[in-house]
Amino acid sequence: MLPVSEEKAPVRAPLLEVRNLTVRFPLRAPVFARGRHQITAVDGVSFSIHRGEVFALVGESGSGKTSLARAIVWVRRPDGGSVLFNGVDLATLNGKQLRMSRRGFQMVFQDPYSSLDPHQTIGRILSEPLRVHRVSNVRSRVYELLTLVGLEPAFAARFPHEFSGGQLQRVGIARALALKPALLVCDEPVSALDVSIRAQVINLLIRLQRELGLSYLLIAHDLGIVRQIADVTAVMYLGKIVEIGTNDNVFNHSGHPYTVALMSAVPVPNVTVERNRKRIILVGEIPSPGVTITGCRFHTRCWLRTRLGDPEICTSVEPPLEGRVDHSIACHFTGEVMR
Amino acid sequence: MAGLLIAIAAIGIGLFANILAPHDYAAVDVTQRFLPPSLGHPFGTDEFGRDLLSRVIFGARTSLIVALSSTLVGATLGVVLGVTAGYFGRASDEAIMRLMDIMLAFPSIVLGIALATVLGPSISNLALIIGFIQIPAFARVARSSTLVVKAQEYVVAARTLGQSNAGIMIRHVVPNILGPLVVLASLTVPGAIVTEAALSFLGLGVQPPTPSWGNLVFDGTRFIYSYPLLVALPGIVLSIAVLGFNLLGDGLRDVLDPRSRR
Repeated sequence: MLPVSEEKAPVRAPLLEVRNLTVRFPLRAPVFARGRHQITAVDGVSFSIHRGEVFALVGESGSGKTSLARAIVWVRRPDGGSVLFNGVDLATLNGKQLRMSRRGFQMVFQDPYSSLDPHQTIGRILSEPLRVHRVSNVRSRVYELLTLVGLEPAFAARFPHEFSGGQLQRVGIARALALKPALLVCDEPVSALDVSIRAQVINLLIRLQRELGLSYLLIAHDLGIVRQIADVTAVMYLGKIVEIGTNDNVFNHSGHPYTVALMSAVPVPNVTVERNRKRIILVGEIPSPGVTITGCRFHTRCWLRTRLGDPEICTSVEPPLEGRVDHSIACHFTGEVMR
Repeated sequence: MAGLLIAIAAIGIGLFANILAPHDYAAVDVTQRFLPPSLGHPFGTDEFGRDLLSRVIFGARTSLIVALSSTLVGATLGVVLGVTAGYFGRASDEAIMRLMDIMLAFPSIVLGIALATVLGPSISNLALIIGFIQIPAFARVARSSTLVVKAQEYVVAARTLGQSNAGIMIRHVVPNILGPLVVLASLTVPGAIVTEAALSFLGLGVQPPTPSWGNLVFDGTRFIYSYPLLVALPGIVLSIAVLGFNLLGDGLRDVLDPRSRR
């Protein structure tokens, strides 16, 4: 049950390709000033995800991760750039084609309590995608889905409020899998759950990825999880990707001062190492995306800039994202970071 | 539970009025005017010697038909408009809600009189008119509840599944805003009874000799100092019914919330 566009796509085309994606939000402003005040949540982001790949997107709150995810699953039209799924630009599809295309990419939400309709039984929630897409044998498919995510088929008759967060997130995952998608966009799938439950849900995601050959766009701020399951990691800061590369490169050879600071915040499960670990504490909050920053968008909080004695280029020229295919960094002094 | 019993009792009385009433509600007997309650006339008689109990029982039928059907009309149209405004926002929101504001700007009685004059007095017209007056209240509540529901992630989830706007509104929005609407409806029923009474009193609603709770109370006020029972008895019945519908609304709100279901 692969998406319709499958045959038409070039063989080597990535499953998902995001080109120069931009998402803006208008600010509430007086009538006369309307249009001028806006926030750029996602500012020209490009990357691609291949079949069977786990692509992680990390960054602190407010960096535009959720806006990016919503634009990719096309519930909010981007204000610029394009999303190509199986080589087909989603903006060119009509309503019916888009609906067909949606079978290929589905989303797992952050908060399982608000992403499941409290007035519907688990069975109805899971059958909604099947009914929308006129899939037959709804009942047996619902039971199959519940079993797939490790829940009992009898749960179909119950309501969401009867379940724990972890169980609900399993339902959310089952719903996303109902249409047999090739790509799952997981927006912080475990950050709303109890710490004790997180590992179970992550393990479920890993198992499903292997069994079903899925691709993930995993949005997270828990770097431990990302390190464990991602193939490619991108670090986002204020709407832009500042570093992207294979997991090994980003984690073990971080080239951007922001990435280095993020990594230094991850605890190491070894007492002596942990005690001697150097930590970089970033000063201040992530700047509001409404404020225009000239030069490098990270310069206001950059520890490296301070150490190098405030080079002028950091505040005047925005560093491009450049490097090799398996590791690109947006920093003027990435050579200094490595040392 | 009490609310349900009272509401069922009121509706039952309305349905079986012709069996329950001891006398003909329109039978005039000038020798029997202003009788106090007795075995033959448990509620006494009015200024034309008509049996008050029979009139109250038949009044239940008229009042409930008007109140329930008008609330149904008002709720249906109000919810359709309110959900549309809240869900689509922007221009449709502005257009619909400003229209509602215009309707609200007229005092309901004035609006009712104007409409009744155009349409002519009859029970079905009365239901339509009162329903029309209620539209803005339902539209406002439906709109504001829709705004809350629209921001929930399950609406976004439904959209990623490919569910259409109509599908989302019918399957997700309406079921989730039903609670406050049911409460509003239960509060609207007594209001409708009163509006019906006011219009009937002005000769634009239920025509005599057909009784309704509203015109019984209004007619009785003329004799409130000499024969207060003519106001008090229908008034008490009316109050009990109103209380019943309010309690019913509260109960329904609890039942409609799956979280309070055991």
